[in-house]
Amino acid sequence: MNTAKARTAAGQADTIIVGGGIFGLFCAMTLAEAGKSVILLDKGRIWAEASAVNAGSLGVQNKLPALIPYTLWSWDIWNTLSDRLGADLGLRRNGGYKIAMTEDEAARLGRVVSEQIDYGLDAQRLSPAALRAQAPWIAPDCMAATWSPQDGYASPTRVGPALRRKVESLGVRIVEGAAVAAVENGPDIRVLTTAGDFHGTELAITAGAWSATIAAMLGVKIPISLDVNMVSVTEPARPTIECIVTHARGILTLKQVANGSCLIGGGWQGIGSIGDSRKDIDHDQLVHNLRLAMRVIPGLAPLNILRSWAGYEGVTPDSYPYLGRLPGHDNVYLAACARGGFTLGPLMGTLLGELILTDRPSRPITIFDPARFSNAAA
Amino acid sequence: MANPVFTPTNANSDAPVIVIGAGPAGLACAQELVAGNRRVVLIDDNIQPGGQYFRQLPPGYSTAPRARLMRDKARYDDLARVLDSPLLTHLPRTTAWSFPQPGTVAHAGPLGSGRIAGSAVVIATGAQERSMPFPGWTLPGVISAGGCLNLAKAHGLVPEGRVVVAGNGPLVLVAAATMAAAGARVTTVAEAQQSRRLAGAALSGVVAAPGILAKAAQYRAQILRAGAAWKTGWMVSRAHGDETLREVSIAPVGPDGRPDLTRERTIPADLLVLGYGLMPGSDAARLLGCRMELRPDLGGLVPVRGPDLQTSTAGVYAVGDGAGIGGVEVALIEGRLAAHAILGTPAPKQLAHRYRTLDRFRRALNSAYVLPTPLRAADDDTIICRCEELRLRDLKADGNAASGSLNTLKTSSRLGMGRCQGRNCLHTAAGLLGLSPETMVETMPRFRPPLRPVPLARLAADRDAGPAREPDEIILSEAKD
Repeated sequence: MNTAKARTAAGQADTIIVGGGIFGLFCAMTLAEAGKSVILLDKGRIWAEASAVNAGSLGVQNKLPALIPYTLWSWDIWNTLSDRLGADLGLRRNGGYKIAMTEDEAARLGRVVSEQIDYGLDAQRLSPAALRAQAPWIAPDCMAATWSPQDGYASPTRVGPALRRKVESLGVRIVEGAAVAAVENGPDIRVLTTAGDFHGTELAITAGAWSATIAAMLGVKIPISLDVNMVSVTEPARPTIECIVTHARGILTLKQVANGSCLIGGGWQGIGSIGDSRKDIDHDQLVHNLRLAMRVIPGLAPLNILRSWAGYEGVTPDSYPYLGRLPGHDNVYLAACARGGFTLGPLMGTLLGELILTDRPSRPITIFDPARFSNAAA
Repeated sequence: MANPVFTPTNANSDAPVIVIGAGPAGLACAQELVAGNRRVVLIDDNIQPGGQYFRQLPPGYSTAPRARLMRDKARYDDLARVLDSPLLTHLPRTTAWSFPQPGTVAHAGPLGSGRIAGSAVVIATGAQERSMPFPGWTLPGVISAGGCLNLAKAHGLVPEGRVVVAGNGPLVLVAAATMAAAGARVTTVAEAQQSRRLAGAALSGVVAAPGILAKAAQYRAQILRAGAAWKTGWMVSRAHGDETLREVSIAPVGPDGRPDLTRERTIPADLLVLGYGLMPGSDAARLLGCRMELRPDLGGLVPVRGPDLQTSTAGVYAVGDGAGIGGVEVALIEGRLAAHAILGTPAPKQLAHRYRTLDRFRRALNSAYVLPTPLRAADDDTIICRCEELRLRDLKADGNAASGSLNTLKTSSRLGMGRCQGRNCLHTAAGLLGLSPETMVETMPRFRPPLRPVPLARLAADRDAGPAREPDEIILSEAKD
């Protein structure tokens, strides 16, 4: 351990990970638990972008059908994570409603849930009367809803510091303020950053929306587009909403967290791009996000909004995450950009770690192959 | 009011000037603009205009004649006449909650919510109080000087029982004198600054602002006449009580800014009024992206302004205590000067001259009250962030306590995430964790809208919101159908 420590202190490790979000931290934890030496680099502070500023939903119902099994596997990790990290993560699995406000949405909700159930989702359709009895705080004109006991949420502000403590206790060296300027892939990997040079046998790219930039330094084009998701938080209110609420068309997420505040999201877009570093509120879209929230849950109307913010989320063309080897590079790996990355992050990071360790991750990852949109030769 | 939808900012257009805040600075600015034939929209959170200084009783209220409160009513009445002008639209009880573009103000209130594009924006949002946490500071019976003055001025409420006033700055004097004049039983007044440090500023005031100085002397006489003990170089060390305040401990300020507990004295008290300084309310300027600077002689973090009182954001002006603590006289003149700059008319020479003199004086006065070391009376058990109920112990134990960044500490500890959005706690937390004022400013979390808490329904009622662009749906499973 001491020699490993001396090596990482000198900038050398078995694996260099670029990107200290939830994917990178779980990858680091998996590798370090297996005895690998790891240096985790981040351009700023770790746990500062999508992992930190998302609204904390751990939704199953709002995932694409083919991702349902992965979401449930990730939940297996979430279920025991508080014990593993020895921390209160604000984790609740109180289920969730997915609602439809129009006939079209109701039809769509019915179709999608059938498919999701085929993939393992535990959910039931609720009649409007049953919904009113169970959740009288949802608008009475809600057309249809499904209920799943499998939805939940956790607190991003609690998970990040707990993960950091854990990986540091496992000997992972975290280097913050290390913006990558260049990557050289010879027999070994060399990562040149603003905080020094780092050498490793393997490189894992877990840089979310920034992953395309890192891949491009190795000559590989990986398509990633950017969402600028807005979230708003209300003042604390009497505990009423005991579970998460999602929308048939994916345009609303809502939950009431431990302190009584309600978090309102749904992927309404703010203003900004990675190039200009802007993450501004789009006031028009914010208003529409809030109108929808109030339409679905009228009781929100008198609650004060305390703050609205926006954060980046990297998105792939088919909304499936990337997970696998970088095309053309045997010792460079990529895991990034799941829609709902907070939910899927623990699994994706763990599978990436397993891929690096054994070449045989415990779950199939073919559909996540980073080469699926890439023209680079494998 | 008709639905105001204007095209983007154009300084030469007919668009109104939007004045945010109807205190002395905002009212004076509006009055001068209206006199220059400009349209004005005056947005203010309060039911009545006047701000803190001119806070009046609500219409129809009266108080007992013995409650002689200093509301400066004659000057207020003169300023408030501007509200009758057809050129002025007053939006009371309305929050200017954000700036979709630099010249456009999004507002929300019970009278309606919408956007107004202005030919200029004047930030006249005033000061906020600086908190100084100590053991017992959250007990009922401990109140801020501003809050206490508001209760007296707006509701005629005068505290019963023994009143102790403590703090640092002219507000101590004002609060104690106002209470004494209103008939409250002020027993002790404790100013943290040494009197010898204040003497210089007082001397410069003899020439610069004899009126202000005379008023201060009159306040002081009022306090002494009331029989109160007047102590300089003393601070609150603790407040005691179970359900409510019973006793207050005061002690001389030690060289490290901590109370010298060997000389601590405990006095019975039913009300403790705290005035540990005012600082400019800078959120609106920060949200607008104005360049900011730390100016101890102006009371803290302020927008950088040119001689015309314009900020680094073109068309955005900042006046009054929100741009630098100076009190009512400075605020009134700054409001007028900004109006002249916006109108493009030269300010009367006398006004400009008076401003230069007063500006020198207020900077000397602010500097005179700056303590050699920031005060520090909190122990590990003292609540620092009231919204999230974080004690100093919690902050010290946080994994990011040593990060040297308020923003980083916020994300893990929830410091400043509650209703006050950090307005009350970030400054004190930074000091208690050993961050320099410069580091505090550099690492402050970015200010996010809304500027003040606004009910969801009022934001949703925005009549000028553009069309919705619903988020992209994930349509993969639909494509298979």
